[in-house]
Amino acid sequence: MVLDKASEKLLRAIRAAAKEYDWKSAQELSEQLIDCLKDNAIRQPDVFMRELKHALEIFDKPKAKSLCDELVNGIRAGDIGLEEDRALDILGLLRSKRSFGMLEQVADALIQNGLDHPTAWRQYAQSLIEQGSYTAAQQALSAMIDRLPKSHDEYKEACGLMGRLYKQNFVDIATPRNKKAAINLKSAVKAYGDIYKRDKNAMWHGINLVALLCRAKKEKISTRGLPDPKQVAAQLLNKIERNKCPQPWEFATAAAACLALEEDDAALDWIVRYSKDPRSDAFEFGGTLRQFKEIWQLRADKTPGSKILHVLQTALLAREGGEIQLDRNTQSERELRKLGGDKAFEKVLGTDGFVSFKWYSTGIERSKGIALIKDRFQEGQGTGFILRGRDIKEEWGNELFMLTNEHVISNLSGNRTQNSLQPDQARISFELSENPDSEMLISEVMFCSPSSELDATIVKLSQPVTGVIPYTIAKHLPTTGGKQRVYVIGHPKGGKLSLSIHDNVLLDHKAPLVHYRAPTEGGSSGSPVFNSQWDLIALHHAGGFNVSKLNGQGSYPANEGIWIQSILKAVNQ
Amino acid sequence: MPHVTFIHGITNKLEKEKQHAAWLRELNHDGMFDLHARGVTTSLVYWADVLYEKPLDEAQAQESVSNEHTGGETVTLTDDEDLAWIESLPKDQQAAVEKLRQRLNFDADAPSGDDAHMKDPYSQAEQEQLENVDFERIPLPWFVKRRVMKVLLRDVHHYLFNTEHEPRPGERFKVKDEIQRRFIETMTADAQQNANNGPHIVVSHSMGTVISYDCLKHRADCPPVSALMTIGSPLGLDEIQDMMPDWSREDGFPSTHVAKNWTNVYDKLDPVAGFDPNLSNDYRKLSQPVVNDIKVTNSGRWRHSSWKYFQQESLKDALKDQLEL
Repeated sequence: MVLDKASEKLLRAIRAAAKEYDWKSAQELSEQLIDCLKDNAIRQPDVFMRELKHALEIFDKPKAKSLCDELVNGIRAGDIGLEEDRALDILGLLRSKRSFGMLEQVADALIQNGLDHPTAWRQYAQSLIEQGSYTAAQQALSAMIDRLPKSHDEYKEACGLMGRLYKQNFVDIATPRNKKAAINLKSAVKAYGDIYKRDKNAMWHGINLVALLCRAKKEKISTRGLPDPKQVAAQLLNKIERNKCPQPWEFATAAAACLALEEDDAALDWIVRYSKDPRSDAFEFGGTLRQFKEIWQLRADKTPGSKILHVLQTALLAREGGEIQLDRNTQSERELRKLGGDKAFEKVLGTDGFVSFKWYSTGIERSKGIALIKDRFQEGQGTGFILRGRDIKEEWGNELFMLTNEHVISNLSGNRTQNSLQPDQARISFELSENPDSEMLISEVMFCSPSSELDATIVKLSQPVTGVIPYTIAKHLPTTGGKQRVYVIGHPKGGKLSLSIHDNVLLDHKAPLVHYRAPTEGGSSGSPVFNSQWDLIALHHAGGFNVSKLNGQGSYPANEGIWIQSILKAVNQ
Repeated sequence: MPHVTFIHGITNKLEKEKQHAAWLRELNHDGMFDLHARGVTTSLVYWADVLYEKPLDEAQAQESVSNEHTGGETVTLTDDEDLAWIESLPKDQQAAVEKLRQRLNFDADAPSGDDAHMKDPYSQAEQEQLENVDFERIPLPWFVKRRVMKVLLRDVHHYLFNTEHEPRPGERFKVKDEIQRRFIETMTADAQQNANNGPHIVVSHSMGTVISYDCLKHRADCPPVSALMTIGSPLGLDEIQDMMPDWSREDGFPSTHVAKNWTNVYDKLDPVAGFDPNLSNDYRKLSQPVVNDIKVTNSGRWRHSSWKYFQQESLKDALKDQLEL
């Protein structure tokens, strides 16, 4: 067996320890060697598939990426030879988990090493579209369409993807009545329409055709000579209604068909069925939501979008992998309040559905108090959130203050975190407020604790923040044991306010630290961390792949927050 | 962290873990009262297996009187208790049981009936009228009343008279000894784990209120708690009070073992609690009425289910206060 350098070094150390009769060290080193050998061994395809599946299911992206890198290197070096079926399984798995970067990388390596299978090409083209590489995707799809017989299933799929590509090009052009946009829309209609014309079972193509024709009509783009969308919608709906065992995506298709037929209540009923189907996953909901927003242009503050979008977003957050961008177009507080008291809506959703909806509404309400902190050059630097003064310190009264990390904003002199903003450099905005574009400044720093301690800064803002309901502050941290969930809402990478559900498990806590798994990225610093009741439990401040465990030895991938009660205690001392 | 020790009531139950999970789920029915998320640890004193051969499965629980839900306080179609056990009792016990039976006012030989309409709510007018009549005259269908009262009669007797019972071949228990052992064992473990970490509350339902009261009042080895919550309790019945040693109206409060308060939640139309639902007059502390009686109105006609009580906001508010959340 050939050992790599790290393993050889460990083996030498074991020998040295054994020579000194230091059995404890020898044992510890042996365990490290076993781990090292396991990591470096070339995995069997079955083992690889299992490990990749697990990593993707628990949203452990670094692990999944490292496995794919290993696979790609093995394929390119000729060390790994995959059976065709197994190769396609891996591509299918990456696609189903919408890991398009990894899908592109693996598909590319497989194709380059001789896997000339239309499914592999199609997966490769889809990965390119999803990542915005439209030209390369178009080339790959054109090649497929040219060489495959029209009767081939992958021919239909390739045409559908070509439609998808044009559709995305249309969506990406901000002014839909522009000539280029009209060409893209018509090209998409043709791509979907040609397939549906030949094969009435191609429902995915059919419903996209309906959506695009309706959109063309709305944009006053001529559809002369093209089918009547209502007629196609009625055909699709009829087919689904006759199907005794419909698939979940057919519910979404039926909902869209009802929108085309202007039967809004029926559309809502289908969406509720879709949202309740345990077979539907977050990625499907995400795709449907995107289609309803981008093509159907449903809005959260208007009927029928208000109900449909909120039901879908509620369902999305109830599933692992769910993620919603929080903005004023998709969350309307007024509509949420109205729907919360709408008995007919409650009846449509059913008891459990309505409970989920109320939970989601509370989460949205919490988002209103979350701020994006930018520097003078409008670069997002972190997140902050509003707390009521007397919830922090009795004498601060009802005035609202913002809490963030010291490594985001600091007025410390000696032990200040490098690169944190000086208070006068920070620009604060609240994306879900009534004035999302207005920027506030910091008028006073009330408390600051260095990142080596509580990593917290509390500031007073230059203008009063309005319309924010103060958070309920949890008196206790949730019980540990791997069953409690936590939710982090923030501005990852300084971008849109977002809330994700990716295996958000509370791992452990030991005052003042809380450890959890949750999808966070740079820019999430200073985000509020909530328990499943939407009570504030912590201030998010860091994350890493090798975070030391709070109780016991070793490390794990974890995010770390500061328990809010520890911060309050320090402020009041 | 605060801690809640639950103890269940009469009739058979799901297996322990499922029953425990069901109660937590019922308290969190609106998604906003998850005790574990709020940092409250919980345990359940489980004693259904002392009286029943095997736990209910979820299908049986579905067939219950309150079949809108599983895992709650239910009377299943199989719970038609044979009262033959009374005949073999000593005379003094027979007399006590007979007194309680007459008080519970049910016809032991009434035929079986259909539970379906028990889900129907009373109309507003019916509800108002029923609030003002004697409990005995509340028109609960006799077949339901008979079933639940027979179970209550047996459980109360077997517990208070420490009857020897064999729920499964070869496994015999002295009912009171065994249930109290479990209660005190769980409470001791909970107290050790929770030492100085926050309030420790006992939340009891139905016959569980009798057991928790009895241990907190009469067992010196029972760890003290911060507060007690009784739900749908029969502790107001004179006949039950008479069967408990050293009970006195003027000093019935378990002062040595309950540091703060005792909250009692009842529905006037709950057939177990309804005969005498207010406990403040019966369990005084140095002659002062201190028990906080909270009246609620549960849904449907069957009002004893724990899950119906757990949905009441006033119950949850009281529990939040006790837990200092």
